[in-house]
Amino acid sequence: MSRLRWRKIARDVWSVRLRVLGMVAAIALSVTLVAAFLTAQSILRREISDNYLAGNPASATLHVPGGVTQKDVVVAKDQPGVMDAIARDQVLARVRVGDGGWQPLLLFVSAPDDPRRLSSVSVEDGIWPPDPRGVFLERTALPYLGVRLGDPIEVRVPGGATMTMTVAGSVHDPGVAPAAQERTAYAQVTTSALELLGRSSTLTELKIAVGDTAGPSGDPAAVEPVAQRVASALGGRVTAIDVPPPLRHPHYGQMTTVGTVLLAFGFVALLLSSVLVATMLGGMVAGQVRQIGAMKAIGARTGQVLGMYLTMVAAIALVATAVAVYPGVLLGRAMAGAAGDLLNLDVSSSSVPGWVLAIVLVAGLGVPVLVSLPPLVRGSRRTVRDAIDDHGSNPAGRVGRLGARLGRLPGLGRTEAMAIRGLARRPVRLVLAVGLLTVAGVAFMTGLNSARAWTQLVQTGVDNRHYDVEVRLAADAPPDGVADVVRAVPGVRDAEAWARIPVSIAVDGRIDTSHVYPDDGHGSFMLMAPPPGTSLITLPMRAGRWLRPGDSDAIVLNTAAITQQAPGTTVGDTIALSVEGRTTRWHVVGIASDFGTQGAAYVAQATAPTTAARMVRAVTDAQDPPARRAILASVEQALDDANFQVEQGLTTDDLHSALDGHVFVLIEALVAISLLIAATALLGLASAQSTSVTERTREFAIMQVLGATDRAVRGLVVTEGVLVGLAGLVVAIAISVPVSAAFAAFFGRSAFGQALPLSIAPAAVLLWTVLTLLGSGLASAGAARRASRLTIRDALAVV
Amino acid sequence: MIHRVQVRGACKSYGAGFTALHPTDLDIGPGELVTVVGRSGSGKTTLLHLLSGIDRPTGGEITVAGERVDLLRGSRLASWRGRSIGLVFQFFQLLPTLTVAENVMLPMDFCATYKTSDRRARALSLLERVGIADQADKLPQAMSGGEQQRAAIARALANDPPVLLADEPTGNLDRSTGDHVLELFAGLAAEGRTIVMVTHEHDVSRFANRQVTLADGRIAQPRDAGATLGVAETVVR
Repeated sequence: MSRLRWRKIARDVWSVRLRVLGMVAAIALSVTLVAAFLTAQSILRREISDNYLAGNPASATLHVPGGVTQKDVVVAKDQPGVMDAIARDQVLARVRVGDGGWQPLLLFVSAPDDPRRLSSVSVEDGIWPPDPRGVFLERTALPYLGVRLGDPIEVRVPGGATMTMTVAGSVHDPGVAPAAQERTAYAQVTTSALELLGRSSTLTELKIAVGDTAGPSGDPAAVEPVAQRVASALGGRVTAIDVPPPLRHPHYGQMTTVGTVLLAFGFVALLLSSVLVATMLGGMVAGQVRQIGAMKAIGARTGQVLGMYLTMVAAIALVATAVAVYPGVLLGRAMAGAAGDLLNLDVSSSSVPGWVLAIVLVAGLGVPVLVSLPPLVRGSRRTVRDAIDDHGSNPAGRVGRLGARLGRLPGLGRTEAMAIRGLARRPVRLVLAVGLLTVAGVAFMTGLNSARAWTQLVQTGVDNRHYDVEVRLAADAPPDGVADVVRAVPGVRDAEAWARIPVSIAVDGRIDTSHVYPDDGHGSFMLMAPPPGTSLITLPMRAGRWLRPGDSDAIVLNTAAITQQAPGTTVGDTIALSVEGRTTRWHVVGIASDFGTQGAAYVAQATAPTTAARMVRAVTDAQDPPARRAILASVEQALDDANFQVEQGLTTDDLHSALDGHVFVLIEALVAISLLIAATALLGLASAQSTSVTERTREFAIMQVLGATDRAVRGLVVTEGVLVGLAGLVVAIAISVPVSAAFAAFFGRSAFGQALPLSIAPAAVLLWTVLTLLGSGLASAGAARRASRLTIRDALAVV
Repeated sequence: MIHRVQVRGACKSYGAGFTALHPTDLDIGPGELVTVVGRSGSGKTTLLHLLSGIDRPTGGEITVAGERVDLLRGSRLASWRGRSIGLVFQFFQLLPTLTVAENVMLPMDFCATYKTSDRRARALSLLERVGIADQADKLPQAMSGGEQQRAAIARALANDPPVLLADEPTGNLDRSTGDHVLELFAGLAAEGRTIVMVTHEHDVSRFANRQVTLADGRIAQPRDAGATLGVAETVVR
């Protein structure tokens, strides 16, 4: 394109520099978001894999209660498909710092001479192996417990001793979530420590890596047969096998969903800002229609005119993208860092892959140009005659029948009637402005509705539990005896003893295989047997019914069990569960929504494979978290004193914190993004109003000639803006309901295996109402001020 | 015959009910300055639009500067218009963000008719010709109406077109300034350019070779009944 045409573009841009600045800002803002989310996602996807795989996680863990011998390790290594094998163990213990209460502590045990090739962690402080009384805490456990290297901690193993150990070092274990999030501390000890803690030093887990020369296998269908083969080779001593999803971090699914959702919102923002630019340019082109006519009259072809305007958009988009890339990458890196903290990852490299920059560039340039194409093509194709006929006598279109009818609605004042008719003259622009506000409103309300749905789900999960504290036992206990001990603790109003047994889906001829991760939490599956008529839990049924007295083989599964363990199972099916090596068959009578636990199956105590209790749940008088924690400490102490082997104690507050810790960052991000989208939409409305005023300059002058005051003109323009805001508000509220429901279902299922409930946050509706009406009034204020300040002479001079 | 304008039975109707121009024949020879006059709605602007290809006839043939305008479409029409005719409007239609010289250079740029390095010199020479060379680097808004119309004429001459078409070129100017503009047109016609000028002012006929009067979409019968080729014309010398 010639320099002359460049010059025209540059001067045209300069003549409307404030509007162009608005366009650049809107595109830059959304491109920043897209760049940030893409950057964060690319870094996280890479780092999550690198971190997790750096520890060379085991493909499967075989449980050998009798102990894993050196020979077993050699036998396992000799099996085809086994790349490596090692004996390990893990013990769920408790830890106490100073006079504080007991907290769950998961000890990962290895031999002092363990080569630490498989399922390894990286030592960050201290020298491994420590002396027998030394413990290496996972790095996130240090702040969680409030200890530093060299500090003493008290460790108690169920059925063992209580020993004061020293924090001898810290490790990074990317396979476990931060301690504060899971309300559990993780630590590494040697077999010597286990012996001192009163437990056998025999390791009972055989970890194997399955794969070939190409590397570890990522296919669960390939891992399982190899693990079964190894189990057979060990001669029937293996009681269970854990095969977690291979090569996948426990939070990979959540992160992918979160990343996708954020990215989708980023693209919505980009699309909106592009529509905004298209609106602005449409207005600009409308204002230049006579220039287009003049250019065509002196020989310009449609393509040449279009080329000039497209170059203008491309230049605007290029500047915006250039401005946005660096902040976007910085923001993305910060987000990746924050998510890394959330996932306990080390973000070792913040380098951004080339494809991210390529997508940002293509999106930042392409989307605005593509979206602007229709109005620009329309404008450039205006014929010379159209352009010359455009004398500004009716530049803002005709009112039309609908506008005329609406303007006659009873109860409308003159200003409102004129505003409605004014808006009806540009139906496409009206639809666009309302559409912009609608999308923003839907995003905003969906974000807040999701936050509320999440809160509700968590609260419901907690509310369904009518107990305050829960203590898990490491060994079988008589139900009545253990419940009585707990009931006797001051502050405890009632207590129930439950059976709680790890189970897996039974397959004939196969050793029990579950999908639990080494942290013993993610992917676990428990069979629970509450006492008859339990009053401590009431789960809402998704299908079927709860347990009834007289049930013989009835089982109720929770939704996590369906998703993680037995997909496709419905009420009426028969399910085979392996309990401690025995296959048991159950008739599924119900599916319960049991948010807050991993996979669980509930059976009546009378039909449970064991009558022994492994868990006590108690209702207390406590009214606040510290009081509940204090009572929990007393309960644990009472159980310890009565020689019951306490494995883990927690309060419902711990559950609440653990659940919130997983999600609130996402919700906050969603709301922040929707606010940005709202800002873009209001910018769009301001632009539309400004264009409308430009087009109707002469009309406003005529109104003033006829006696309209400045205030009346201002009132008319602001009323138009507020009416657009009102229309956008009503449509957004209506659409946000199904969108919130769909989003909650998608997000909940993708990230947690359970749809979030549809929840409409009144605060969201109220806030958006205030934002829209106030925002649309303010967005129109500038244009209104300009309209009222036009002098009649100037206004009538405009052609 | 690139300087000739020939209209054969050209007409223009809008929908079923309204005919802006009834079948019309008109011949304008090289170097003629013809004014088209008539009341508002008489069809004079429609005729000008048909001659310039701004509008298409619903019937008949129109040949301007050697091309059948009624057959031209799209970029060929644009290119022909840029090279073969110069259009002058009542409201000048100068691009407000370009200087006067740049406005004059623009047709050369769109039609790629002169070397880039020669365009400014040509623009200045044309501005010299219309008497506003000293205003070359001003923006249109800084000039008077008469000066802007001169600049518009210079722009119309940019590609050295054989035919100039002007729509009410003096309609927005005072009488004295208008007379200067008309003298300019007369001079251009004297050089051999064919000029058709639509105007509602009858007294501009003193600058014209011929005056065509339109009434209700038809060329009116002349008072002296000097009909030629079946076309009624009033010749004013």
